[in-house]
Amino acid sequence: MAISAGQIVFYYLAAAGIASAILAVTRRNPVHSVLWVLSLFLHVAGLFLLAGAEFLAAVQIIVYAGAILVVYVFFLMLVDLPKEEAGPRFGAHWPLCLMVGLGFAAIALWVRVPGLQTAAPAPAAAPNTGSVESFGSALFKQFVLPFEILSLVLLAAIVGAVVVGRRRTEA
Amino acid sequence: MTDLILLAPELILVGAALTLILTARHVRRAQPAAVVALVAAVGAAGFGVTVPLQEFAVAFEGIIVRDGYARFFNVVFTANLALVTLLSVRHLNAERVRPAEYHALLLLATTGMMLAGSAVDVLILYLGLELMTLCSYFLVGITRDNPMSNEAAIKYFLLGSFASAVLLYGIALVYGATGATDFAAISAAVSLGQSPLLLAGVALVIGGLGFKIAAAPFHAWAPDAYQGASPPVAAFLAAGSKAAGLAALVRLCLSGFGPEPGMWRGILVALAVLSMTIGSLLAVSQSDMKRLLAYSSIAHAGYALLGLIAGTPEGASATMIYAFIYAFMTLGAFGVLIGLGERAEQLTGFQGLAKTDPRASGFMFLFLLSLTGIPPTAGFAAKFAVILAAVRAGYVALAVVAVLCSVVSAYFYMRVAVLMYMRDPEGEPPQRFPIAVLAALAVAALVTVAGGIFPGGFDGWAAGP
Repeated sequence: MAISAGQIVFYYLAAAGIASAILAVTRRNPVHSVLWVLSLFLHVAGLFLLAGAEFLAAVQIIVYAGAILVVYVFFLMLVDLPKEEAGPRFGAHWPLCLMVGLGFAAIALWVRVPGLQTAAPAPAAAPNTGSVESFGSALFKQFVLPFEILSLVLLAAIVGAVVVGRRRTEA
Repeated sequence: MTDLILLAPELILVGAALTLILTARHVRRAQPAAVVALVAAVGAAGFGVTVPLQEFAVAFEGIIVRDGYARFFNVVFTANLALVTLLSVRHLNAERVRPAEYHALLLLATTGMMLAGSAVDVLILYLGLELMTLCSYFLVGITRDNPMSNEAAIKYFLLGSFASAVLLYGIALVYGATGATDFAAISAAVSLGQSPLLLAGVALVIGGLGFKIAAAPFHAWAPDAYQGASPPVAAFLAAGSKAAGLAALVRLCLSGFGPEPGMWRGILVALAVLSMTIGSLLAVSQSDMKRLLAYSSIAHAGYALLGLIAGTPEGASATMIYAFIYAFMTLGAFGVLIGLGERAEQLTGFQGLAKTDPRASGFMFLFLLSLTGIPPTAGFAAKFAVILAAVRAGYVALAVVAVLCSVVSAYFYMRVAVLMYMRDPEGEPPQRFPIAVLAALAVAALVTVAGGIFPGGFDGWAAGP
C-alpha cells in the first residue's frame, strides 16, 4: 500500500496534536500546559491547511493561538504557581471524565460506517475560488442572518460586561 | 425585502435596544426607557399579528418561518416583555440599576426568544437561545452592589454555559449523523434510520434545552438564580425563558425529530416525572417566596411537557397554551411580590395581608388558585388540557403522577393563602402599589380569569408546528 506524502503529513499532525493534548492536561506546571495547548492549536491549524481550508487555518492561529491563549496566560497570572504545582494534577472525578470522553470517541469511531460519508454535505466545490472567497460569500449570503444574530450576541455581551463591571454606583 | 418584513418584530425590538444603548448616557430615570421598551413590545406584537402574511412564510433561505406557531409564541414573549417592563419601574429607581442598559438587555433577550420560536434551523435556534441566556446572566447580576445577586449570576453563568456547550455538542452530533441543520432535512434523514451518534446527539440536545426550561434534573440553577435576582428579572426568567425553551423544544421534537418519536419520548417522560415530583416536593419546605416560585416553575415545566410527550397535534397545542397561561399567572404572582416590596421575600410577609391590603391579597389568591390548577381559573384549563392529551395518548401513569403532584402543590400554594386570610397582620401595613404594577397585575389577572372561563378561546390560534 503506497503512502502519499499528504498521508504522512496528516498522520504526523494528528499524532503530534493528540500527544500535545495529552501533555497539556498532564503537565504539572500550568505554563507548560499552556505551551502544549499552543502546540495543539498549531497542529490543528496544519490539519486545516492540509484539508484545503486556508482561511480556517489562519483563523485558528489568529484567534485561538493569538487571542484565546493570551487570555489563558492572563488568567495564569492570577494563579499561585508553586501551589498549583504542589497540588494533585487531577480532581476526584477524573475517571468519570475519562469514561465520558472515551465514550464519545467510541461513538464517533463506531459510526464511521460506509455510507455515512455521503450524508455529510460536500463542501461547496466552487471551482477556482479560494476558501476565503467561498467562506466570505457563504457568510454574507446563506448565513447572513446567523451572522447578524451573532453580532447581537456580541453586543449584548459587551453591554452586559460594561454594566456589571463598572465602578460602584454613584450614590 | 419580504425577508425583512417577516423579521419586522425582531427588527423593532433590536431598533429600540440600539436606541437605548446609544442614548444610555442621558437616560437617568427608569420611566423613559420603560416607555421605549413598552412601545417596542406593543409594536412588535401588533406587527407580528396583524400584518397579513401567507401561511408558512419562510425567510432567509428557509431558516426562519413565520407560521401560526411562531406568532403565538411571539405574543407570549412580547407580553412577557411588556409586563416585566411595567413591573420593574420602581425597582430600577430604588436599586439604582442603569435603566437604559437594563431595558436594552430585556429587549435583546426577547429578540432571542422570538428567533428561537421562529427557527426551523438548529443554527438559528441555538443563536436565539444563546442571545436570550447571555442577556439573562447579566440581568440576574445587574444589581451588582448586592452580593447575593453576584453569586446567583455566577452560578447561573457557569451552569448555563455548560448547558449551552452540551446543547451545541448535541447539535454537532445531530449534524454529523444527518448532515443537515434545517429541521426538514434532519427529519428526512431521521426517518431513514437511527445511529448511536444520532441518539447521543438527540439526548444531549434535549438535555441542553431541558436546562432552559428548568426541568429536573437540569433545574439546579433556578432556585438560586431566582432568589438572587431582583424580582422583575426572576419573573422574566420564569415566564420568558421557559416559554422560549418550550417553543424550541416542541418545534424541534415534532418537526425535526418527528418521524422517530421513540428517540426523545423516553427522555421527556423521565424529565417530566422528575420535574413534577422534585418541583412539588421541594417547594413544600421553602420559606423564601422566590425559591417557592422557582420550585413551582420547575414543577410546571414538567406539566407543560406532558402535551409534547403525547405527540399529537392536540397535545402540542395544549403545551403551547400551558406556556401562555403559565407566563401570565407566574408574572402575576411575581407582580404581587414586587408590589409588596421587601416584606414579600419571606413567606411570613404575607401574614394577615387580607386585612391590611385586601386588593393585593385578592390578586395573590387568584394567581395561587391558577398555579394550583383549581377551576375556574386558566391554570385549571391548561393543566386539564395537557393531562387529557397525555391520557388520550395512553400515558395514564404519567397523568396519575401529574394529578398527585398537583395535590401536593395545593399544600404549599394554599399555605400562602392561609397566611393571608387566617392570620392576624404583623408589622407595618404594606405601601401602596405603583400604578404600573397594578396595570400589569390587572392584565395578568384578566388573562387568568378569561382563560379559565373561555378555555376554548385558544382553539385554532394555538396550532402546533
